[in-house]
Amino acid sequence: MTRMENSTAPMFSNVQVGREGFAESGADYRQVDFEPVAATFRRYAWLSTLLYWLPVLCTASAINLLPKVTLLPGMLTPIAVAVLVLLIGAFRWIDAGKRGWALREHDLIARHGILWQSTTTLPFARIQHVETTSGPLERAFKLARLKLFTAGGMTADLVLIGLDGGTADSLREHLAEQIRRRDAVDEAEPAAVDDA
Amino acid sequence: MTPEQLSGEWRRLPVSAVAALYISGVQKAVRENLFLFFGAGTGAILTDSFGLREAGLVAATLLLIGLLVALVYHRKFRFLVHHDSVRVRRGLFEQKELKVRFERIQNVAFSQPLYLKPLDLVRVRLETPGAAQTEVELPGIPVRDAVALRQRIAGLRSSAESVQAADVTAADSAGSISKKADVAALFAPGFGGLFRYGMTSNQLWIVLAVIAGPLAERTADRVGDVVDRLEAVELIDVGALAAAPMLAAALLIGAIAVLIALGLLLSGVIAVLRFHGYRLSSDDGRLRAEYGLLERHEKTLKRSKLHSLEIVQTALGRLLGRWHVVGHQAALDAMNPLNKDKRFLVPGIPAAELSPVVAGLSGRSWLVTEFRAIDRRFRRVLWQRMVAIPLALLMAGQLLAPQVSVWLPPGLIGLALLVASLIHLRWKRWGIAFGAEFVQVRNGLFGSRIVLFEDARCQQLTVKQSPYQRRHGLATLVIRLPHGETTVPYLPEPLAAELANRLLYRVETSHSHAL
Repeated sequence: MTRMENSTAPMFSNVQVGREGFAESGADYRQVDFEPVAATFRRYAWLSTLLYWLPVLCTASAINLLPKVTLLPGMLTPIAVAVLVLLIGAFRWIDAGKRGWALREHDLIARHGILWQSTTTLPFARIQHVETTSGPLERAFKLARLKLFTAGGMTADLVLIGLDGGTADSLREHLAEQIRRRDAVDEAEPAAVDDA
Repeated sequence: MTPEQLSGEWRRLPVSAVAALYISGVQKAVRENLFLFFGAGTGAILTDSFGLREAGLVAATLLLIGLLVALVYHRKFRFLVHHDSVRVRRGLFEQKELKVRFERIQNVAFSQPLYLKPLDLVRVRLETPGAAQTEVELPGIPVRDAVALRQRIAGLRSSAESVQAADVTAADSAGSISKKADVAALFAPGFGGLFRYGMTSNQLWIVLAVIAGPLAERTADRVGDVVDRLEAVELIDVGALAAAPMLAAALLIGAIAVLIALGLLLSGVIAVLRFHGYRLSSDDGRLRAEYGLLERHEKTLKRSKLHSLEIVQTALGRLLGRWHVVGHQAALDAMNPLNKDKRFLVPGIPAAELSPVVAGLSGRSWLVTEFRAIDRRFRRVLWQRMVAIPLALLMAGQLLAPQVSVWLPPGLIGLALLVASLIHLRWKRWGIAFGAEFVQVRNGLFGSRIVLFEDARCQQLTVKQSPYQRRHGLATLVIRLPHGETTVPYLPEPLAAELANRLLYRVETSHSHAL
């Protein structure tokens, strides 16, 4: 494989931009320290799981009261649903611990997955617009999610969940500034863009 | 008309365009609802409930409504050409205005169905990357205006000579919509190439598969009636056939073979009609494709707008020695069949001409290259999970239930061997090759599909690892391009990471847009 030749060209750097502004060297996407999700995200994950499955749990419990409709003897049906809810909640708790993000000079990296782990890198040069969203439960926990869109997509290409509200806003502004700078460069060099 | 004369004021469609709007609207309604009609079985239900008179009445009402819609749409439609953009006002009840800058237009497509030729009109579609709502379609404008518009978009100098050279009359049905100055011809498949391409295409089989279910029952009834009639006139003896099952099976296989042959023939004929006179040419960084017998198409786009090429040889294409290339522009959803016209298709390429055609499309030299294979563990994992384990379970079940047929175990083993062979072929076909600025990913089963793209065009990169892959130092690389994703599984993890870093480096230091 052809190695990146940079002996005569200016050195390309893609250092990580820490929240405190400290930079670390490295252009390898693996050599970054990932920022964890917000501290309140795990509690949010538990509560949202419970609320989501609450109607099912109530229905499972109520089924036993209906005449001639029995799925499992006794209270086994609601117990089975409750165990399922606990397992899902535990899964989301562990999943929250495996999520992370890292901001570099030229791109954003996101990681997630417990057994099947995935690391996604989205260069700023490809981001068309950024938005933050938060549901009522997320707002109660002061959380938000950041959605990044590339060209040609109606749905978000990368979504960071479990961010602290302030962090999500800061990231959004930072990325919007990157997009603005990139568009300014493109307008100043239309010939170079067109010859791609 | 010169490009300058085209701009300046809001223009309406010519009166004759009402016919174009009406007919294209009816075609679109039928096409978009055909699968629903057959697929949901609605047609079967309706044809049982409705008589011919009722069906005729409904059809006439719908056609009349369509005519009213076309008249209102025509009356409200306006377009205005600026020096750097085009604005369109359209809509039936809700008026919408759309403005598209010329620099966003990546493809100017002309199409001229038979019914527009006598009217000297052409349908113009200005395609942009992204949502269909940002596209402009002028349903029927004079050919001269369409050519002038294309020249304005291309930024060519206007001159009376160049406009006159580009004009054609409607009588010139054998020629292109607009004659051009001599341009370099890249490829023209001819009748034989198109027919063979049609045979290798799977479109007919997809259509048949969708409508086969609902039609099967009605077809079986009709076949039953035909067999009864043939038996009544003593042309066939069903009793004799029942006593000779091998003969019956041979007749059935023969009938299926005849149907398949007819299907291939029909596919070939459809391809010839659809791509009649196909000619691919290039001119100063622009690619132009002209084709079509009943409906003449002319597509023009800048080479730089093709962000990737898909070089395909189907299984039948391998037997017939034919490839086809699909050039991808950024589309909302490349898998959406309604977006298939956004693809720049080059059909029926013989192997000897593949390299020059791909070089002409990509703007760089291209040769069939050596691909680096994915790890053998991909094959091993699939053999274990899809062959060995299911086979072992089924054989264990056979031991516990010995009354099942004695032919079952050898049948299962035969099936397992077949699946294992397919897995081997799939593994063997999957590979990746990377040059100075281009990456190629190949996969397939009996055929071959190569995705060729400039490394600076990536949108996003994902490296995934399953527990098994982590144990063995492997990873799956997913490269998102503007039209979709391409995946390379079971690469050595260091290689996957190095490739990802290299692609990121190229994207982040390149001036090229993905689009």
